[in-house]
Amino acid sequence: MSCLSIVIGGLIAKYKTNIFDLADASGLDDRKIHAWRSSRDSIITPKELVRLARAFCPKGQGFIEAHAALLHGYLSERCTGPGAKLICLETVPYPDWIITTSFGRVHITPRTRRDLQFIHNLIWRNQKVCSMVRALVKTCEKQGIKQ
Amino acid sequence: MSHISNTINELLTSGKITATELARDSGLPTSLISRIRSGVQIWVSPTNLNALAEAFAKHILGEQFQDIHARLLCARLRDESVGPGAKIILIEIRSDTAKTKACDVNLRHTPVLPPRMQQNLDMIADHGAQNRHVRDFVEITANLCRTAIASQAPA
Repeated sequence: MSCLSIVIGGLIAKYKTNIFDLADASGLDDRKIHAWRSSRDSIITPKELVRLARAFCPKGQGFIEAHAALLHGYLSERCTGPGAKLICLETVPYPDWIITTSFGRVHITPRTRRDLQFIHNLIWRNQKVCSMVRALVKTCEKQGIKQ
Repeated sequence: MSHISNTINELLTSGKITATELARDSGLPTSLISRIRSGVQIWVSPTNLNALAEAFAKHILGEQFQDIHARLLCARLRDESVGPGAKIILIEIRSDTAKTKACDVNLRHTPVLPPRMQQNLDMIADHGAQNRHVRDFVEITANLCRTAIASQAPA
C-alpha cells in the first residue's frame, strides 16, 4: 500500500464517505480516485490534492488538516533514495504555529520559531548576533518588507 | 527562485565548482542544470537527484553522499509542498549529531531580554510570518550560530 492510499483510506473512514461521493464532490474521475486508493497510481497534481481535500470537507472545517494529511502522504511517497532516512517529515498541529509577540498573534512555522528561540537564547551574550538582528530589523523597517 | 535552485547554488559555492563541471560529472545536460538553477524547472527526477548528489560528493570535502542527497531531497520536497495544508507540514533534515544536541542542551534556558532586544525579535517574527526572505535570514543566522557552537563543543 502506498502512503497516499493509506491516507485516503483513513480520510474516507474518518469522514464516513466513499469514492463515488468524493468523485461527485470534487469533480474528479472516480476511476482516478480508485487508482490512488488502491495504490495503482500515486501521481497527483497540487490542484487535484486541493479538490480532493475540499471534497472531504465541503463545509470548510478541517480542510487544511485534510489537505495537509493528503500532502503528507504524497510527499512521503516522493521521499526516497539514500538521503531519505535523514529527512524529517511531519505535520505539526495548527495551534503550535501561533506565537504571541508584542505586535499580536503571529502564524509562524515551527522551524522559524525554533530558529528564533535559538537566536533569542544567544542574542544577549553575543554581540555579533545582536548586530545581525538589529541590521535585519532596520532592513525590514526601511524596506517596509511586511507591507 | 526555488528551494532546489538555492540548494544547488549553495552546493556549487561550497564545492567551488561551476555548473559546467557539475553537468560533466553528473552526466546531466547543462541546459537542465541551468533551468533548475534559474528556478524555471522545479521538478528533478530521483535519478537526476542521485546523479547531482554523486557529482557534488566528489567535490565537497567533509560531506557524505547521503547528506548531500538529503539536502537536495529536502529542497525538492519543500518545492513540492504547496497549497493550504503545506503551511502545517514541517520538512527538515534530522540533526541527531552529538554536537548539535550538546549546543541545544546548553541553550535550554530562555533568558529574559531587555525590552528593545525583545521588540526586535518580535518584529522579526512578525515580518518572518509573511516574508520568506526574512525566514531564510533567520534560518541562516541560527545555522551559523549552531555551526559556530558545534565547532567549539568537545567531540
